[in-house]
Amino acid sequence: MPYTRDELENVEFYQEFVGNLRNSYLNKISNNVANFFRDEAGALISFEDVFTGLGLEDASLEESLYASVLPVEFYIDDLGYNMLHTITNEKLPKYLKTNNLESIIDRNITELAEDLYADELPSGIVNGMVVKMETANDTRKWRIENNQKRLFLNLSAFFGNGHTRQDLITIDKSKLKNIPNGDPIA
Amino acid sequence: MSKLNATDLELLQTGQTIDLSSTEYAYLGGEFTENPNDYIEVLIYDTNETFLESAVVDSGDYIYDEGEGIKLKTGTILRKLGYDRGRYVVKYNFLRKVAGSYEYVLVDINNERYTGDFDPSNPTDRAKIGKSLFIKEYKYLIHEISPTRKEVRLIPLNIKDEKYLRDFYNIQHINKRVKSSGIQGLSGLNFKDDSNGLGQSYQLEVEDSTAQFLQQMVGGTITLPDVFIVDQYQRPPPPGWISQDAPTVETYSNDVLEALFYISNYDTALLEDGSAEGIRSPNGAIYERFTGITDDIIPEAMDKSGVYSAIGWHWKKTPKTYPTRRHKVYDYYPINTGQNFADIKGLNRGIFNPPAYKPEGEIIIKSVSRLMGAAGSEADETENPSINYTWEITGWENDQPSGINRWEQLVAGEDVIIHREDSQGGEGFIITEMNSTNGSQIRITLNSWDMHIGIKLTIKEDITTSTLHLPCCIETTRLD
Repeated sequence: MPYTRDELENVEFYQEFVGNLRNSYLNKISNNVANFFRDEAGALISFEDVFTGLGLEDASLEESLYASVLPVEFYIDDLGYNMLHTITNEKLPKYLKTNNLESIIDRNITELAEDLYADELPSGIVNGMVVKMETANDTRKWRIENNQKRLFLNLSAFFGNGHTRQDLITIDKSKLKNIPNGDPIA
Repeated sequence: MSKLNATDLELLQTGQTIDLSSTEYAYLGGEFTENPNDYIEVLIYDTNETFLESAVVDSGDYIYDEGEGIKLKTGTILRKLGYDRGRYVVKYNFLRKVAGSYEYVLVDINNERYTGDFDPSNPTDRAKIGKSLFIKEYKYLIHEISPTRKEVRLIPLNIKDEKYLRDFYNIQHINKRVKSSGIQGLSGLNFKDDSNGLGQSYQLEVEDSTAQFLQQMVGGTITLPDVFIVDQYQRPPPPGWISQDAPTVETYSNDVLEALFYISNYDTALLEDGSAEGIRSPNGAIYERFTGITDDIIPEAMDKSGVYSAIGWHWKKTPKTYPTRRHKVYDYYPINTGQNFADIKGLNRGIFNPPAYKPEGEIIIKSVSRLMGAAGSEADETENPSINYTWEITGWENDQPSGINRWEQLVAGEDVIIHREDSQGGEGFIITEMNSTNGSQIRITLNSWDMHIGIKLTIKEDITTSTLHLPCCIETTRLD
């Protein structure tokens, strides 16, 4: 008859066999403290917690059998705790957000783009007009073209396309809102 | 781990990093792990960098240490996914949800998001799945992938949830507009009466609103327009405009009973566009066009310009291009002789300039069809003849107020809420007020975006009857 688990608790040779395995495992853990649980390439060497089956970083290292094999330095200033984890302190990189961004990466939607244009422009507005809204704190300017409104991305685009401030016509916000957007003018 | 190629990355790098906890970048949502929308995705590869699996890391398997960064329990993370021995390449993505999620939600049979109690371990609750409740991914669907596979078009799933749809709308915009719920001309923002006194206060607070000052707004600018009035000018009158001083009562001396009405709460209705003047007699453009037609049938002699039986955006394909491209166009079809007022979907803004109100505001429509006593005295109501008033709300509601129009019949109590007075009866869209010697008015709340509603008033005194029906004379604004 094979032994049951409970019976095995009192079988000396079995307990010695298990003890040796455990000691060998604990020694491996202990030996890896010196190299911070990392191999030559810097990859994390992860050990299993024998009680939970999770990583050793989830074990109670101060109170369990691990305390007998881990050196005193392991417990100083979270040193041991940190070496069992993957730690990253990389910050989010700041990328260029100038007009060059559009030149470097093509972010325009072209293949799936859907052109919107009004069949009829609101009264008083005709193609070719350069317009702004009557809101004083909104400095955006558009050119009405092909029954769309095209936003000037900046002042250079506005003046560079041959327009002057005298060309600007102020129109009602609600009228402008009813004209679909076209491609911006860079 | 950048998705950019090496050349682009080199050109775009500034050598600087972003401090998410700084005021300058507060709008991004704060330091990683301090925002409830943060999560970490783990990607597992074999040693040949062949992708094996990805998963979302349990929030208990990482911590943020201010001095050192984010500490991840890689051993535990792998073991929880079943990788208890072997060599693996593990990569992490540190992500912040801006719309949708890797999670699932429950919806009811109407696709409304279910937020009530649900215990997955309770068999009774579990039995509801597939019957009264349904599981849906809280994601957006890839509707189309471009031929070069560089572009995708996303669409939302059929989940009726304000946040789900609003997030989808917001991700397309650089600026997000946050509005306080100020009504009736009030901002909904108040200066807080702090120790400096109200007049010197530098603190603003939002009143009775879902809009709140958020951490992301730190470092932003609050602009208070029109704080100082330096000048005033009179806006040119809109089409159909008549003077505010136009009479609002019919006098007995006219000896003609005529149904007339106007919107009386100029000051409190949430007018966003157009003008209510077009409804008024004698010169309002809407009134002038439809007065005298009592059977709701479009007569041959009627000027039909600007009166549309179909109106709005729809898709058109551009011919002679490859690949075929679709575009959205605004179109309309004029009404024809013999059609009914019920066929009218909208009125041209340039001709009629109908008033367009923000939904959820209250509108009061008042009858001016009121015969006065022999002396024409309003004070002596006992001499006024009693009149029966019958009001009717007609019109259409656009079920897709930010997309391609889908016009549907109005639903009483949903699209339009009618606040009946004690003296008023009727059901659905009919409001009656019998034997009134003091006129009649109706109070309605327009609840939906992009509605085009009509008002029909029939008045009867003894054997005299008069009807005025102005179709699509009041609008609510579109969502876009």
